[in-house]
Amino acid sequence: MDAADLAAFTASVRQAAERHAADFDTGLEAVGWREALAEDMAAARAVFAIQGKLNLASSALDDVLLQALGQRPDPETAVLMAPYPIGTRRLATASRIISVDVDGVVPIPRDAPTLRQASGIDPAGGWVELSGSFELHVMGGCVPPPPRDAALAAGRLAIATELAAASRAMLDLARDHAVNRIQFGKPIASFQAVRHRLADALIAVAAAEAVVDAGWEETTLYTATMAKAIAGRSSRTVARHAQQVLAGMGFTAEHPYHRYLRRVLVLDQLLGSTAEISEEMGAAAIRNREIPAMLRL
Amino acid sequence: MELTQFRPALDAWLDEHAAGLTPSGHGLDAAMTHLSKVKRLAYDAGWMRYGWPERVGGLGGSPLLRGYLGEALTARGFIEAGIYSMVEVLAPTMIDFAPAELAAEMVPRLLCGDETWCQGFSEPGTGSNLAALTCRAVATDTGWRVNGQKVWTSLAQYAQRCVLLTRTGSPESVHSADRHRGITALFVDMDSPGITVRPIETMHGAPEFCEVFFDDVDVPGSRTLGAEGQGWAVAMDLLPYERSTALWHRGAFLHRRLGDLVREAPEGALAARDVGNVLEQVYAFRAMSRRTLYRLAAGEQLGAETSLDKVMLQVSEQSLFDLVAEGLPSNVVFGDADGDAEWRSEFLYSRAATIYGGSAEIQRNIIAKRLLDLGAES
Repeated sequence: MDAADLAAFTASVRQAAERHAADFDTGLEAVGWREALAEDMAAARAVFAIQGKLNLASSALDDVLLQALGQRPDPETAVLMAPYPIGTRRLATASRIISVDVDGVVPIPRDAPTLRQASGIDPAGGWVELSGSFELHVMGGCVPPPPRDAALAAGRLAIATELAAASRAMLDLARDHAVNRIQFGKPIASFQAVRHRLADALIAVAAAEAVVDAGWEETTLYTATMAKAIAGRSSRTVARHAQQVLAGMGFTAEHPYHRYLRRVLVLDQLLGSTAEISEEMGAAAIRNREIPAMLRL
Repeated sequence: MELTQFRPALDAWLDEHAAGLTPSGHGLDAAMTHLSKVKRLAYDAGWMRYGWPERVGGLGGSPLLRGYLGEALTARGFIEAGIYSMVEVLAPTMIDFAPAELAAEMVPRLLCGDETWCQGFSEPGTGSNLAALTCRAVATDTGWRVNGQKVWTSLAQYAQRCVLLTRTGSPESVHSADRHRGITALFVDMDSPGITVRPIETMHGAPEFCEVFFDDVDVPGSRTLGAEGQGWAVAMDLLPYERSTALWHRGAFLHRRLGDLVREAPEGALAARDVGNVLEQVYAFRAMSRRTLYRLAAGEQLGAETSLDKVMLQVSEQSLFDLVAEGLPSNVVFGDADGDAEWRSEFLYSRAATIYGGSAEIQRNIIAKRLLDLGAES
């Protein structure tokens, strides 16, 4: 897709998101999301940014993983990346489930695993957990080794994109509240303590956006993993400041803030959390006694 | 020349000349001498001239080339990014504001290592509130007569020239809302009669900051940078450079020292997750800085958003050196070897990262007002 095609696709996704907010999968279907993705991975960037900004839920992640695995995105195929047991809503309905581990793509018999609706902190997300005795990392050798790294990279980058957009949305909520909420006869945005919190939130958002950009510019497992870890941490930082600035309003179920908080907590856990990635990256640096090269000019 | 050609050619040259470019000796004097040598070698080989316009002796090309040169020199440990990057801050000011002949005469001297320049901005009474500066320049028949004091002037004891901000408006204009207007920038020879330089002893052990006193110092009118009263614009013009190429070099320094840390730390001294956190912070800072550098190269006007990069530098530099203090306590706290002094000095210097060049609080004020559009502060 060239820039004009991508802009047109993005605009149609935005429209579909408004029309099908309650069921974004249907909206994506309507705009030909899988075809766009098959043509250009950049379609995922648009979709996940909108999904994050508007707090929508879909199973677009499965399509991204399939595409990166060199398979055709298909609404009837759900993907789990071993060893991570949480999947999208598609896991509950798909006729085919595959797991990707270091050895290859492994079909999971539909009746073998126990699937559990993982409502948890984010019931609106539709997340599903594979549990029971089935082990995600056992089988292998069924098909030639897949580009697991490519799938993990694509998935992590898509989630990082969603996290960065959700962080920006939380900051926007807090910023609007701060300029409109009057206390002591003035907008609370005029108080330095509030201003500095919002400034810190923007710094976190800007960092997340920069690493997500870098990931899209050159997608490798390393750039995508760094993007995911940094966007994950940033989202926690932004959520903390936004919650405090939104104060009582943000604590109500009526205000949209809590839905973003719930979602980013889940997104951080998918395909490797910030804590896990930091641990792995740090351990590798200590073990190798060197740190990876970073972002060439 | 394009970066894609510049990079491998420079890398090859640096490898070939590594022996001559590697610093020896310790302390600021040695570092300054070595810096001049590196600049001279790089200038004569042409590298130091890329990214600068031809009218000041440059060979043209994108600022990305300057970004990469400073990065490559820093990554190999050939220079200290902090003192090297003064070029990035001061040469553009001259190019943008000095009379053409003056810029053509002076800038090559800075690039080739013959000269060091300093930046006379801060004063005892104006730290964060730079626009309230009071160092006074009064018009004479031939130009200006300067009286006053500057402080925190980096490398003034080594400098042949100074980019100096003075108040040429009425002394009362300091207290007015448009105090930015009465400021004029001058290019001053540091050997002018009446200038006294006194290095400040600091806690990190290198006397790189100075007090500079001006007593009836005459400056020719031809040394005015920009027009009379345009000094604030000169000061603001410098920021995009200080926050692009110079920050990118600083990022290369953090990257190198983080690598040194994981190499030198004794077994078990570092917690994996802490190292991962710092790695991510340095990476995020570099991603932001890289984006800014590309915007500069594309000719975009850089503005308040560079405060975000500056804060990220502050945060990542301090978390790196906090980790250094944890991971290398026997070096930083008790050690007396040369390498220990370097770690200790850098650790202590990092404490100032949230103070110099616009404090952490000032950056957040700017971000709140200009980027978040939060209106006036109460």
